[in-house]
Amino acid sequence: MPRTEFAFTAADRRAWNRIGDALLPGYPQAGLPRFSATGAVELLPRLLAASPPDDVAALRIVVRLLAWLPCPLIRCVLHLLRFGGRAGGSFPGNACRLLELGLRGPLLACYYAGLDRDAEGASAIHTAIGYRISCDSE
Amino acid sequence: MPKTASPALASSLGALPFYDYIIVGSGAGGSPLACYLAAAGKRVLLLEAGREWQASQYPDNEFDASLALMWNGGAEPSRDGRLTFLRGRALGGGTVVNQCLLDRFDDDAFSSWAAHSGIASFSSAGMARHYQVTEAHLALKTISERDWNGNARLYVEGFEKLGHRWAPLRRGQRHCAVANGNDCLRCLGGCPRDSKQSMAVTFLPLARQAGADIISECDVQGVVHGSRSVTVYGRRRGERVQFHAARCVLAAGSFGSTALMLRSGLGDRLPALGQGFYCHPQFVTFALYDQLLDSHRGSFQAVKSDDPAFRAAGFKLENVFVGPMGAAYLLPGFGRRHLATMAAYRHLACIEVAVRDVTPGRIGLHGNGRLRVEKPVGRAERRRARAGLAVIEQIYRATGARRVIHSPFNIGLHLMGGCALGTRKASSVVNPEFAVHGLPRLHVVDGSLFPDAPGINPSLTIMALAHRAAEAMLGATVRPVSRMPCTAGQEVC
Ligand SMILES: Cc1cc2nc3c(=O)[nH]c(=O)nc-3n(C[C@H](O)[C@H](O)[C@H](O)COP(=O)(O)OP(=O)(O)OC[C@H]3O[C@@H](n4cnc5c(N)ncnc54)[C@H](O)[C@@H]3O)c2cc1C
Repeated sequence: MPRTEFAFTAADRRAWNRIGDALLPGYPQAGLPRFSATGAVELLPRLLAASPPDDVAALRIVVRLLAWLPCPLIRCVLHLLRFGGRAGGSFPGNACRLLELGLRGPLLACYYAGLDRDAEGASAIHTAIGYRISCDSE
Repeated sequence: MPKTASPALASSLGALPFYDYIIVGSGAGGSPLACYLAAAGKRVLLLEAGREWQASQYPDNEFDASLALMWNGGAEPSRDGRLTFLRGRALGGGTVVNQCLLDRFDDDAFSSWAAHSGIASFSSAGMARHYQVTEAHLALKTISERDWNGNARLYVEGFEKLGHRWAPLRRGQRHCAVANGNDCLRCLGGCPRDSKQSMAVTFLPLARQAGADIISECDVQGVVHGSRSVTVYGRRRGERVQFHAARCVLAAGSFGSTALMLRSGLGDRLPALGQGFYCHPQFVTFALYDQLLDSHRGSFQAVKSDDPAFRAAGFKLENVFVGPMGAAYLLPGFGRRHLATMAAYRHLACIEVAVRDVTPGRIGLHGNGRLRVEKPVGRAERRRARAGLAVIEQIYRATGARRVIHSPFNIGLHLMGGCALGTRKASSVVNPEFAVHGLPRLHVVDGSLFPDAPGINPSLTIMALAHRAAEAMLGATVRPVSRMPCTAGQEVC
């Protein structure tokens, strides 16, 4: 079962927002805000609570360390992970792929979840990309 | 006469009876088996780690659906991070979150099974009756051209221009009413119309009607095989629980059943346990078009490749699409370019290569008991994927794509093997009567039985294997179970 309690501190929030902004810096032409402007970070504790605790603990350390870097350097690290992951199955390749999944996965999931809903229940991000589905229960 | 559910179950889990069968896992294997055994008058207890959902309660968004209905919040990577696996965790198992494309295996798949397992009766003819009985419980529809979206139209246009064979898909669905504006993408998070033919609307109600006891949110942790009975233990909502039966059937899926046997200390006596894991690795390719495609709308999967040359080359091409979370994850890179591609979501097409994998993986445990899945994408898989990707490129070029985008991330949805069926203990875990070699009271009935990868959607065959297993366990012919008419005052029937 997902754990319901998960200590997500203000420092964690800041760190994830910084990396989130490097990954999703916004695209105003299409009405897509940067990660930290969406409040999507608030979804992370629920997502992390459903993940294996040892993964979350390791990820937390990496995120906190990465967040110390200036934004261009964070982007460099993300690029390195991306290209490192294309390398063979050896240690650096495996670690890069797993880390890339660990960072990209949660941030993209929270951003595109569509839970930034307004009073009418519409998500600004889903509206910007034109995503809307429906299914009547009967 | 149907047996009524044990009153003890409602009041206290401590006072449950001794069962004939405990089944662990309620997916494509466990639910049909529970139905057949209970209908034959056996006392059956079905245990499921996930929770039970009513159609109206399923989450209405991808995020909550992943957290609520999947193991590990949605994604489990292989040890080297090359593949990400998805598996359902709900009453009904993977059938609650799957796309319910239901195909029979062909002769090629069965002859490969017969060769690997030593079980000669694996053939289209030998399995025909098991398919027939299974299909009698399901509403099966062929997706018609009327329900195609832009992605399906492009797919067919490309296939026809290039001279490849395609066919409409057969899906388990009753009344999707796509023409009224319903979008089937929603039911990857549980079908709110009870139209998709998941176990929750097919075999589980029949199992209940026949008197099976069902306990959800019960995470089984191990099994003790005694000379006269089997004890199954685990946790339910934080409490330790224990159940006893004459026999136990593991139907917890490829990962679940293998892990349970390993955690029960059976790894030493079963050399093939955890070996031979396959997953039909999927290589996803998007393309950007000038025109609106709305690939996420309506029947988002409508057609399939049906070309003998593709089958011979070990791949098929899937007409498929994903929600924004899935698309964002699969699209390469990050930053403004990634955002710009997502902004064009309605202009994206998607086709994926599903590879019939031949390099076996291995399911094991880390020292702390956590699942460890090794699944190499070998040379053969890469060659097959390349052949499929080349056809996809041609389709996109032939239909006017502006940009073709290959995803660097591969996924595995068809989790198969780990407890292979076979006649020899050295190369299999389960014998042709569906009992674990040397452990007559322990059975396995789910996708973990697959001796190799068929290259075809697995779940109909898992259900058919459940029928075959029920006949082996009961030593009798098993006919379709029919739904009893509702009587006055009954809420559920
Ligand atoms: C997104 C997606 C789309 C798919 N689309 C298709 C498709 O179109 N066609 C097709 O044929 N197949 C499809 N599949 C695959 C198909 O759903 C599976 O192959 C099938 O459900 C496997 O059946 P199973 O009985 O082996 O396991 P499952 O259906 O996974 O059932 C196993 C059950 O056991 C439970 N369990 C596991 N461990 C424990 C434990 N320790 N204690 C208690 N319970 C436990 C699980 O929670 C689960 O409910 C898809 C899968 C996914 C994820």
